Amino acid sequence: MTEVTHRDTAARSVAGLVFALLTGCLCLLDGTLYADGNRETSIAHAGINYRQGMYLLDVLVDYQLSRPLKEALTSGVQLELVIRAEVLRENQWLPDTAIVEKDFRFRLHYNSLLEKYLVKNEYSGDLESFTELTAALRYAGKLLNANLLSASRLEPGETYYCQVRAMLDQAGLSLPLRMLAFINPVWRIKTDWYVLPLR
Amino acid sequence: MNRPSAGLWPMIGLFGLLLVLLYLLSDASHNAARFQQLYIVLLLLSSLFLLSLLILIGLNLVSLVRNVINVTPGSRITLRMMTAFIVFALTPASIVYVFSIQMLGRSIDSWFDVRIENALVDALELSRASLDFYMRAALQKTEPMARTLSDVPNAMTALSLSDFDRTSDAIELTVLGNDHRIIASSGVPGSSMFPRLPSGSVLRLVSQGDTYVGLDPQNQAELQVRVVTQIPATRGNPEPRLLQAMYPVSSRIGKLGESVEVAFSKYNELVYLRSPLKQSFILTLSLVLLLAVLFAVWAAFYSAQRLMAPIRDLAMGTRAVAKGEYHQKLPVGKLDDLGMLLQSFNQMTEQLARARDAADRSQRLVERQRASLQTILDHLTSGVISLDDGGILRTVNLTAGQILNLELDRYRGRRLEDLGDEHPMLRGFYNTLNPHLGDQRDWREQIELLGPTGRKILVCGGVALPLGGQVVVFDDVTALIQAQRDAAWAEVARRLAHEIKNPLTPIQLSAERLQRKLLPNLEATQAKVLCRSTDTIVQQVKAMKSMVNAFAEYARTPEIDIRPLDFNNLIHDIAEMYHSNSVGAEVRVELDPNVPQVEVDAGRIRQLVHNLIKNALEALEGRSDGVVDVSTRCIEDSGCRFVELEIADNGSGIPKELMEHLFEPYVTSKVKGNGLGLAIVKKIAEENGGVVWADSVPGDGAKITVRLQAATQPGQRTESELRRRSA
Repeated sequence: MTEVTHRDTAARSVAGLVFALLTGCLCLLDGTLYADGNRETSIAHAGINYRQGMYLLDVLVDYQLSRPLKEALTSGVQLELVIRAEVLRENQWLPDTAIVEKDFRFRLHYNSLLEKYLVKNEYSGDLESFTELTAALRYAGKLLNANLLSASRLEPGETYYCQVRAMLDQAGLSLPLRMLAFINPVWRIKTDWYVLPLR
Repeated sequence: MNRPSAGLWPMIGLFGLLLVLLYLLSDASHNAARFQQLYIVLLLLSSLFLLSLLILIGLNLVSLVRNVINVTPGSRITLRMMTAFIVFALTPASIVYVFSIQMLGRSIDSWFDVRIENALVDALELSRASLDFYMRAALQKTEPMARTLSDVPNAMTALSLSDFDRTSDAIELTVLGNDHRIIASSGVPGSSMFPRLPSGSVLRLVSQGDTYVGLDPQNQAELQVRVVTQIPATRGNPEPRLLQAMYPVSSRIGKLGESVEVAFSKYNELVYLRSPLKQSFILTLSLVLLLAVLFAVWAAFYSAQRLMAPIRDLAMGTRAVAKGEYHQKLPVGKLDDLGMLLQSFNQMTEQLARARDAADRSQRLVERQRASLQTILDHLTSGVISLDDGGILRTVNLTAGQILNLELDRYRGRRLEDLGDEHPMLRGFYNTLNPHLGDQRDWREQIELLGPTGRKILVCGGVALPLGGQVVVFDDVTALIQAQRDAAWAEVARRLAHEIKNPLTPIQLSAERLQRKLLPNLEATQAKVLCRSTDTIVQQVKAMKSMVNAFAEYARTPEIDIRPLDFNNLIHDIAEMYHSNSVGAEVRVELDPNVPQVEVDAGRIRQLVHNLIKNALEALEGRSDGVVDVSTRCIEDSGCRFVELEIADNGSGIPKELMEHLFEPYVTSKVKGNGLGLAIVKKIAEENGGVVWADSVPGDGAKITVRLQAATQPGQRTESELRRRSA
């Protein structure tokens, strides 16, 4: 589990836009970069349980990898799948304040020696192996009773809510792929926020 | 005039940033980890750099285009320099770029070798074979244990597992029931507290009667062999059970296998990333090239502007000088070639300013002198004009225009000859001046002009100017000559009265007395002679008296009573009186109904008309077909309206030798008459502001024309009228 710092997404967007102008023509030459047209990754279920003064998070992500991502995975590229959870306090006039930001990371890679997909849960440290990619993705997309926050951090009278999203951490990609991820959406996985009320 | 020094610091800053970017790029190309870390920073910095350059170049380009459109000094040469700079920068950069791309592709391709790839594949296969050995051995160890457990009831299974645990090298043994619940388990110290159950797919596989043998990765590069097999059912244990045995793999074998796997995966990843890597390097190179080229373009803009600034200043200074602004100083920076040029320009403008100031002073002096001269000229009673060698009117004064009845100032710059076409009066004036225009000697002439205000006599004098052309001075001596003539005739009349008329009466009386005293004493014959002689004396004395009286009448200056007069009525009334005349001539009258009124002395004009008609009738004596034509008409000349009276006869005409002095006293072609008729006509015409002239063809009659000025509106008195009134 790591605390996430906000990045300057605006600067990144500008840089990506400028860079896109330069790289777009070259990237279009590579036909493997196009998406499969399959379903998109989505959050199939999410829920919050309150147990012994702690809020616990359950999430089930339905990961869908594009063909280039699958090819990259079987070619030795590691993928870092992240389930990001945020707890925010609603404000009337100002933007909502995030009081908890947590990333649950699962590192997925293919072991050529064992001919298995290995998934390491960075949260628990568990390493699991799977002969099928779907089983590995199912494991990486399941979060059960993960500690979200202590109830003592919530102030009475305030309204809180939790939002969850799943994504592929582009910073964990190799450099050339990270550059492509700036441009081509098939290299990106990011769901919309799944919002849960916090009671 | 601004210097572009303000743009120096941004250029130095951007140049430094460009160097840093290039250094980082160079460093990162040798260090993949550094490249990974700095990539985003490089990308952001490059993007910002690129944007900054684009904005700067765009601003400069817009400014340059605006300057070219506005034809700002130096803009076109700046454009040409910019074009040259860009071409010179782009050509080598493009060549280097193409070669770099090729070199880059070849360099990346050289990373990959089929032999290395084969070796890695072989190493991987070898590792797999080695691990297969472990797995087969584990299977061979597990299957006897499963058969042994087939006869062991569930309650005794734990004991059996403890025995196996001691005799085998398994680190974990677990027996699962039909429902996959753990029946018994044993493990070596240090292994997991809870047995790690096989996955659902493995359980499903084994439930179908197969045996699963596989490798499970552990942390710290450890591997374990997992064997899951079915325990055969027996009569005592009819329910199928499963045995899972976990065996360790040698740590050396595990590390070697992991090493081989990592190397294979990395190589495989590298092969996969070959194309994106090339693209990323190409893009980075393109970005750097673009940055460098754009920086060169912007630096070219900056350099061109800096280089052109003195030239632009010089051009603007030249324009300012062309507009007469000599006091503008150009900023002189370094005393290089352009600096010296600017300094020389400043010195030149200083000298020009001094010269201009001196010229201005001289011009103001000349202007003052010219104004003084013009004032003097305008207040002269003589008319003054100057003409250049081409006969073009250059200078006039007010009096000249007044004498010639023209606004001569309007015609300044035009040829006097051309003005003669518009104003007939000036034609005679020009004809007099023309022979003298090229004359270097002084000259003096008297001119008689017939203008809208009557006859004018001008005394002209001219002198050649030093720079060419003539200055002509003329005076209107019409009134002077008229006054002199009047005075002369008055003196003649007085002398006649004194010297001739006074003795006539005693002569007459003496002759009558002689006749009266001597006649009774003489014989008839002598008496007859005496009577005839004394009668002759008396008759001649009377004739002389009559002549003297006529002369006195001519010389007399009568009171003029100027009033508006219907000229046609007057002519008609007078002509009526002559329809039946002693000569028997026909008098024909043709009056123009458009003839306006004239302002004249009606009595004097009546006398003028009587004189002319009588004169015409006398010329027709002895002719049976004599005709006198009396006509009037209205004409316009030089913007004035005139009334002309023409009285023509078909007599013998006027002899040529008399024409020149026709209107002078005692000039006549007739036997009778005192020779004063036409002289009086001329005198009356001039008294009433008119002119008279004669046309004649000997043997074909004569024509006398009298021109009088038409009556003007109140307040529009002509000069001649005013002169007549004052007279």
